Amino acid sequence: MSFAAGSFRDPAARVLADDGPQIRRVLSAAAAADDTRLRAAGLFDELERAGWLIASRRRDDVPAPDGWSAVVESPRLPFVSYPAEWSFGMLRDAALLTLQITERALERGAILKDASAFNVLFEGAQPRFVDVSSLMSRDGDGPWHAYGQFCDHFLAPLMLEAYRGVPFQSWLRGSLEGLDIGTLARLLSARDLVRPGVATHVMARTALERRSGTLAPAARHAARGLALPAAALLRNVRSLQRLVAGLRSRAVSPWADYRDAEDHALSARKAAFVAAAGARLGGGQLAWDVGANSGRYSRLLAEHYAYIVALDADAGAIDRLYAELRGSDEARRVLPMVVDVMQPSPPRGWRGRERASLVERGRPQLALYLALIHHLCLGRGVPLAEFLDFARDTAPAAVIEFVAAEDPHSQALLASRTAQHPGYDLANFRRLAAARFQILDEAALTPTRQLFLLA
Amino acid sequence: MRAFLVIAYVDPSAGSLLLQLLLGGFAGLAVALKLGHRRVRAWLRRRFRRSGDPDVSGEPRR
Repeated sequence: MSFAAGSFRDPAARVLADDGPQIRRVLSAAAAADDTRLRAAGLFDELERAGWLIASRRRDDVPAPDGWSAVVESPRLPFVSYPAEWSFGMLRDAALLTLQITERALERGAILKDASAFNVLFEGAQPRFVDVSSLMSRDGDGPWHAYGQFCDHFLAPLMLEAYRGVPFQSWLRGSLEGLDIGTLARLLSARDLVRPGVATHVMARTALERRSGTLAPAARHAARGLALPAAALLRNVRSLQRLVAGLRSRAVSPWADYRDAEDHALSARKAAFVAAAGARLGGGQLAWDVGANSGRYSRLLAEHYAYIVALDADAGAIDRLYAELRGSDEARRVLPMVVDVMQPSPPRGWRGRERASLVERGRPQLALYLALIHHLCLGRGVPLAEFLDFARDTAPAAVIEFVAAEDPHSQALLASRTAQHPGYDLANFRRLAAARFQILDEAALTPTRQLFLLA
Repeated sequence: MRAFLVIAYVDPSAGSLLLQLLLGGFAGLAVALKLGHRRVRAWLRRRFRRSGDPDVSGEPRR
């Protein structure tokens, strides 16, 4: 028996290492008894019906491994994404989901034992709370032990972007523990004191942490025994919900409005090429749209592919796509992610195995690279041959839009650089592509843009 | 201690626990103040009516 590398933190429940369509968790005797009680009380059913909690069931027909008492099974989502890869709206909705579940649990005498942002995954644009073993009966009448973790994982990064206009993604890429509230206090200015939640959740909390840091261990331990009636705890959770729901991103996005400037005739021809490529390849389980921006072509692929991951380095563009996907037909099948392919998420955490790198999480059968190549090759110096190596390593099939150096968009990129891009031309692209793929189809979009279907 | 008790494994800092008491307390205080405010208003209204002004509240005079 071996465990999934990321599931060691909770000693009462662990995820088994298994690549099957179901995730299996094993529970300790105490956790199994509590799970039985909460299921009998209908809490799981209620949260599942609301669409908040992933469906799960006890597998009492499956023998639990030695030292464990029960097995709980829940479906595996098609593609895993982490908080550093979410847009502002995604992190905010994941925070609200965590608070909604906490509120409902409190009303039923239960609580969340942790409030890690990694407890939430997205099924397309739908956040789902997946750590079913995080629910537990509330013991006594103490404060919420996971409140501090909630602040580090959700509130602080959201406040940083909402109040300072600083995108949170790189902070969360830097630490799996989120953004420490004391660090946020140093990043905020005196002006921010009047903003909602700053005086209390940031400044008062930081002062209390400083003071309590000097307390004797016995006194700090005694703090765990402090009582807070359920009604007061509920009030706190609801006030946190209002605070989080009111936060809006103030980060600047250069790309969120790009689509408005798109040439409609050109994008219609591109759409026809992408649709024909999907049909010709016969579809599949997973496709990526790299540099997805508005997600128009990601959504087109949903006709042929079961699940589409829409990647873009611009958090503003991904946030807009996320908002549009909510409530759409493809809401559960297109997953928006903030990813810069020049710096894809590496493996992270304990022994470098706790959180998988982007490429370890599943390879697509088709990848789109539309209007991306000039950004990588001309804008960021990637040699053309290496771009095609990357495409070949990523997926067995690719749709690539070659944008020549003479194209107005390329010229805009090159305006402030010395023009140095040896070998970056259509003839060389065709030659390098043919050495790695078979060119199945080719179409000229404009005199400086050419579409390719490679497989 | 209940048989099904599961220990919350997240280490809560003392500050995070204390702040929750403070917030819970503040909210309680706010509710108390609101109630108090209502009482004061009711008392003022009574005083106001006694001074002979017309009653606009529609409530029976005491």
